[in-house]
Amino acid sequence: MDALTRAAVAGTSREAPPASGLPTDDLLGSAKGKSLQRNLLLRAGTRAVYWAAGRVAEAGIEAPQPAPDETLPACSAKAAELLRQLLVDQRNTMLLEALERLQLAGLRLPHRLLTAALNVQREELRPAVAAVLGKRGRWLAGFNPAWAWASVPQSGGIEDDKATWQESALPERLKALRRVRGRDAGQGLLMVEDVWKAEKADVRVAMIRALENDLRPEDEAFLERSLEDRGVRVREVAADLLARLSGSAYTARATGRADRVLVGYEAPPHDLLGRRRTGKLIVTPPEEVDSSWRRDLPGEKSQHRLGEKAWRISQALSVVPPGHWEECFGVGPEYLIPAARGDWETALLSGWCRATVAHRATSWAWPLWEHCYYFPRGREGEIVWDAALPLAGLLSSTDLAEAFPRMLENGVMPLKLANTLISLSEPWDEAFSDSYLAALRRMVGKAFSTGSGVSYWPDTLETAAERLSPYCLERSEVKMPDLPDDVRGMYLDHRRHWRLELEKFEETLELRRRIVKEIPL
Amino acid sequence: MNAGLTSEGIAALAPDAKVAAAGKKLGAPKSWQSLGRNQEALWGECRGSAVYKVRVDLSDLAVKCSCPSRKQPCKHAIGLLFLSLEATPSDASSPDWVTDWLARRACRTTAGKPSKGPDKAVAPDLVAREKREKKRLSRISAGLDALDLWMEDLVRGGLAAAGTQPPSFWEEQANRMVDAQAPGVAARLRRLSGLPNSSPDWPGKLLDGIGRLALLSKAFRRLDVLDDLLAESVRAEVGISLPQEEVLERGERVDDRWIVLGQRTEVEGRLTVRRTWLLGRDRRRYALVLQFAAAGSPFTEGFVSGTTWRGEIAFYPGAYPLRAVVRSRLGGGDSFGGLPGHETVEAFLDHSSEATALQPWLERLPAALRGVVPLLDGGPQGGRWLVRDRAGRALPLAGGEHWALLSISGGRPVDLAAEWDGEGLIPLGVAAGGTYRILAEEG
Repeated sequence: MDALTRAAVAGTSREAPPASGLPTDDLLGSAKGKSLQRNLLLRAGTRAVYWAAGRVAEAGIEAPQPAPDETLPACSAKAAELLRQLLVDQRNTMLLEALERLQLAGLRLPHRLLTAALNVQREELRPAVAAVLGKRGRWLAGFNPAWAWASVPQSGGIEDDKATWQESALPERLKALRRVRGRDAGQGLLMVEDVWKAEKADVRVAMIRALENDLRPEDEAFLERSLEDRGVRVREVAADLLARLSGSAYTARATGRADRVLVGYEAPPHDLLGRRRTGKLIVTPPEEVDSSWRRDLPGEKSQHRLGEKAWRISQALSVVPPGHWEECFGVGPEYLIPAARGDWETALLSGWCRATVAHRATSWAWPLWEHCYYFPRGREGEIVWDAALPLAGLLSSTDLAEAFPRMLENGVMPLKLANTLISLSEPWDEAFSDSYLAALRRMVGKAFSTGSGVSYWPDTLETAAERLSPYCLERSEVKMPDLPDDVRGMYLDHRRHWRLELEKFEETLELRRRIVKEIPL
Repeated sequence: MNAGLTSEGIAALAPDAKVAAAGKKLGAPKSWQSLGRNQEALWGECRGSAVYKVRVDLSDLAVKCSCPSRKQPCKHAIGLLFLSLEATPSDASSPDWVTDWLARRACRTTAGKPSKGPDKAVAPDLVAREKREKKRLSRISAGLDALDLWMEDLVRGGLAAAGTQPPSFWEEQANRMVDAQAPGVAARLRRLSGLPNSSPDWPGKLLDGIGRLALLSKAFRRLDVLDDLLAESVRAEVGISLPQEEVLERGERVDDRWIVLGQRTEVEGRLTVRRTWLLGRDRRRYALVLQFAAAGSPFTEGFVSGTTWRGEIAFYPGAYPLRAVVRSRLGGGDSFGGLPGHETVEAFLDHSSEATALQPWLERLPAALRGVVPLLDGGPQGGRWLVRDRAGRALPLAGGEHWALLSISGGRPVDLAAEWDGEGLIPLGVAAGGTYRILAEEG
């Protein structure tokens, strides 16, 4: 701080203001008749003008390394405007579709959208963003640590990741762990073992879960030890991972245990036409469980609303790949699933559903889901359906296409079907999309004219608008009849709900039509 | 006219982001019952909860809509402008509700301009005006006397103590200056009130600010000995502004192709103030159009950053004339054709020195710098944002982070338009690859 400013900060009552030492002091003339304060103020004023007029540029600043030339063309101005809107409004599903189309079309984002694209927070969007950033985007990301996910990969190897593992917050640590596991799984495991005891239970759960993608036999010992962890969630994840480690001691124990529960399959004789009839599975529920059982299968019974024995059966089956039963009994799921009928059907279905999801046994997903879908209503039905709904994540619209029209009850969408549609893993294929739209059009007419049929159609519209096949977008318009003026009573709200959801449906589809039009492939 | 309008430009015309977004939605043909355009205007009937008649005067982008919205331009007008980018309404003869409006506007504009014929009321008017003027000057002098004492007290007690004062300390003094009919001084005080504790070197900045105020106060008592133009500047800085008619009549007139460099809108009390910076393509003169509107009301004239229009402006008289009013706009919205400006940082600083020497109370100056490279010196943590010219000379960028500017430049030279506040450049827009982009302030 210079002397004049110091005097002003301290106050002239304590310190007389010095001359500024600049030529401007002379402009003020004699100090006679002026108070100290007046003198200081005028000196400060003339000095401020003097400095402003004499401002000099900075020198010695290095020119930056410019971004490399782009190799891909930017998308059109209209596509850019559309993308900008999707980024601003955070329409993430459609943004993802647009970004993926951009990549497929061999285009990149224009430079003016780079900042908004790099600020995308959703992890699932980032790979799609990174693919269309172009050279400029990657260059730009190098200047901001928050955008490190998109910058040109640095030469730093495992050592850098080890440093991150020691110093950073959990999300960065887990990313570093996954990178190291990808390059050297053993090193990654060592990193986890080093810190294991010092970490809290929720951190241990996240760490052990991070081993999932690069699971290998060398992980077995660590996972076995983790079956005795003090955290129940850690034990559950360890059991889940061990069950997927084929050839491990755990899978041998699990299979042995399951084989003692599900001991046989009685194949029925063929009927007169030579068709095989439904067989029967022979189940021996465990009377008592030992400490090894409790160690290997640590889950809580209360979550699954089953009785003690049923719970044990379900547990025993849940850690064994469903394909094991095909090998044991020589028949596929289409025979085994109906053969579950009997006292322990709920337990068997619930165990198989969990095993199918855990082992991603896609050939079991559809028959199991369909069987559970038609399971009689009631308490058992609810337990079965709760276990079956996660199967939807393994189903595709192709699986559903044929059965879909049958599953609608007089055109009305049941809740279970609506929930399944919402949970399907992938975008819908063309045939299913057409089938959905045809059924929807029929139902819209009905819902608006008679007002009857409280159904869950409107709940599926948001998902449908985002998932319908791009090939049927041009023919996807659903005409909405006018709401009659004289509608009163209980169905009015329902019809308003329909109208609102249909408007949103149409708005989303219009946006998607624009994406397809502006980013042609 | 569409050549110069961009969707960003139209969005910037909207009073807020909500209206811009709603307007964008209405920018689809299905929302419109009728559409038309000709040389002067663009119009349409928008289907909302009723049918609204929307019209846009293409000469200055003034709009009128029959909807009851308090936000102007409303979403219907913004929608119509967006639509004009996508689908061009066919040329047509305008309906009565458009022609009438255009005619009324033309009448008002002519009425606002000075009449050329003899004015019999001039003499008595002048007498009354002089009387009023004298009264005002004496009120201002009394107000400035009190301000001088207040500032002297401030430095007697020390600026460190001023740093602990509540906002009301500054606000009360500013209000006193409003009462003394010196709103320019009041506005300066309000700007100074934000300085304490805002940066490590705030005492120096505050001292500069009150020092300049002390100089202004002193200069005001010497109006009679100052050069005429400097005296005009001092009066304007204190807040005695000339009526627009007088500026139109006696202000220096400059005819040029004016580039709209950019705009800044700030709320001052119950007023919204918009600064629009212009640069003449041929004569290279900068100009500032200041517009005031009550909160929520529209500005009477619209400017779209990055567009060019041919026309005549009249400068407010002063030692360094910068503020101006538009006398005529012959068509608008020509597309951008490159940014003229200073070739080096030194050349701009020379220009700034001259301007400061002529008018020592200038707070902001526009800067059009050609061929500068924006950069982040020293990395993102604690790094400084700068622009560097071809000769290796640099000036700091102010007003937050500048990622958009960096991404558009890619480490290569661009032409930059900015406001220079004596400390740093606050970017308004950037020209690269033949396109001009508006730069919003980043956090």
